Amino acid sequence: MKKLEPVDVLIIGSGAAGSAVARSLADSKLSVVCLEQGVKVREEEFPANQVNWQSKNVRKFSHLPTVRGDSWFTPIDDLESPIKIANFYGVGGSTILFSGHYPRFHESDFKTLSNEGLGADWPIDYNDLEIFYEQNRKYTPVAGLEGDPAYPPIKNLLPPVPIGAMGEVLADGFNKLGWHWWPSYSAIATRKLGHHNECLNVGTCNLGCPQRAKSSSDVSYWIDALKLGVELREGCKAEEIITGQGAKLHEVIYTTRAEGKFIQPSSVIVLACGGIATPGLMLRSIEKKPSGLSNSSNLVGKNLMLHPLVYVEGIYDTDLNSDYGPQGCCIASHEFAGGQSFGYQHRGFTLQVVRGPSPVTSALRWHKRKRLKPGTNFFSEFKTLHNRTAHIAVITEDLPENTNRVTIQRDSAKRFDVKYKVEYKLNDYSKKALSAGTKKAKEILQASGAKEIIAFAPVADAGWHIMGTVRMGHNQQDSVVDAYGESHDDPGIFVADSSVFVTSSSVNPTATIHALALRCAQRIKEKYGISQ
Amino acid sequence: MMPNKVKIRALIILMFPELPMQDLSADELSDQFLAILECNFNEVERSEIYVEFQKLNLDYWQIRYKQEPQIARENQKEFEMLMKSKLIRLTFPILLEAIFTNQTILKTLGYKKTSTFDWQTFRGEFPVHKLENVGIIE
Repeated sequence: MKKLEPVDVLIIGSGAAGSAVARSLADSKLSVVCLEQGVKVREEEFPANQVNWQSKNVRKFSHLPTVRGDSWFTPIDDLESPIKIANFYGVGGSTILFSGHYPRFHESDFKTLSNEGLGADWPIDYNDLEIFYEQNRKYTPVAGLEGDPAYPPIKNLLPPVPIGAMGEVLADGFNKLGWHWWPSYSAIATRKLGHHNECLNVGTCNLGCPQRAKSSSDVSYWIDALKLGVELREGCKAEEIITGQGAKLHEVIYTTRAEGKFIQPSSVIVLACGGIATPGLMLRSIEKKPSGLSNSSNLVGKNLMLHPLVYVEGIYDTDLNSDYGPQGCCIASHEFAGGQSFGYQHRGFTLQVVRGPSPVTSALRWHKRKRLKPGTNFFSEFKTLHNRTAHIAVITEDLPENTNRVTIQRDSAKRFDVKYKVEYKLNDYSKKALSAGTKKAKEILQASGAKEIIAFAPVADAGWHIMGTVRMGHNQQDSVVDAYGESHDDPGIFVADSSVFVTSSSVNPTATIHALALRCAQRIKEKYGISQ
Repeated sequence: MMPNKVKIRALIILMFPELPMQDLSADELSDQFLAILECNFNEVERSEIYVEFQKLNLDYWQIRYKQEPQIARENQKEFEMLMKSKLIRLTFPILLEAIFTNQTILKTLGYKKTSTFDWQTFRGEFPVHKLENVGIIE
């Protein structure tokens, strides 16, 4: 293995968290290198720029690593989870395929134990993060509408994404019931801003945005980070971290596809590989620590949260143009979020109105449901279904549990031959939340005029929100890292991604990942470098 | 052996008889089918599809369905069995993709959304909603 020249900060992972750390540190005098196991996806490669864009999402651009099936990447075994892990490997990470729905955590989300006796309290609160939510918007265009009563004031948003005919119909349903709804906070440039062009509402966000309107991290953060001197090494898979002691630097062993293994020494290491690979990498780093890196708490890999999801679909008599516009960004309701009682104490759920699928996905889905079959009336029947549907994703807040976890499986004879195993079960609490959410979503669809309603729970292939596996906290007894993401056990080892989440809220996590990563970077600059 | 365009066309007619195939660019559709097959399926999967094409006498079905629809309907059971065949299962998504990316067919079916984006075509079609009825938490 070739040993490389030391650097000040080594970031592992170039997704939402790693990119934000890199961009923030680019303003310092620190030398910064980022390892990314995937590669940069060129805009011309995005499925949406190609003839067969719809079937691409079931192969190379699938959000399921088990479907993409590239053996270069560490395998994930999620057979023992009803919710399958979703992600994307490449510069920008999962933000390449994320929908861009971009709400912040609520104020109450940080103190669930104190407020309701559920879950655990974060070592920080909304006020600690607010400055970083705001700082993030210097880089990440966010569309929405001021005045949302679900949050403290959020100002200077870009104009909201058009809610379209489907959004109007459902908004009408919310109004009839007197329930909160608001245009989505969307990480989408509805006006040209920075490196981003104006969104055209074509709606292929979940397959990469060739228009450069979606705020994926490859655009929002990496373009400037690279210009300012951060070195990004693509196709470099971190295998193990060896902690330095005393004046000795930490080291990362990584592999490239073509040139073998390298050792990269660094004063500071920032793990930003997401809620599976970050704890996975820590657990496989056993050269000096038999139970894994920074694992004196024995909590690394535990408390996995995945946001169990209900998908409720209504069918209408009229054309709702439901496959137009950003799929995950329309309107959302926080009526039932942040501490609710449905005959039992619960943290609640949000209702995210999502657009319909593309024509091919739609046809396949209806075919699977035996409502559409090849033959004489295929297209006339298809027209009575496609674009006449409205959809609500119910995002429930699941609570941290030790038994929901990520572990590693290793052949003892092969040091680097490792598999990540996901064990996750829905407990009664989550099942009740799914049931309550389904009921409320059905009420809205009924109030808005749906003639038929279909519901699925939990949605199997929707494990995008991977949280909690390297929890932050005040001390080594109940957490792995401190309130800035720095390891209690090993100074200079930071975790910047959603692994540090203490609880999961009931909203999409990316805005909070960005804010936490920027806060982590600020700490690194203050403690280990000179901020310019 | 790669299926020829006649076979692909026959399969499309069989599965989607509503499509006005006589005037549509069947060649283009078949090309798209093969392109999608090439792009998204590995060699083993493609070979399996080719073998399934060889097994079925699609020309026979094309003739029956287009020229003798009455007979075809009377033999509904046989048709249903064919529809459940491995060939249909393997090729259904590819055929759908080919159909929904064929510009002529899109126009026939009344869909505006295309696969290869002409960004300018879409610009301005979706003005920002006025948001007159934004809901409020009491």
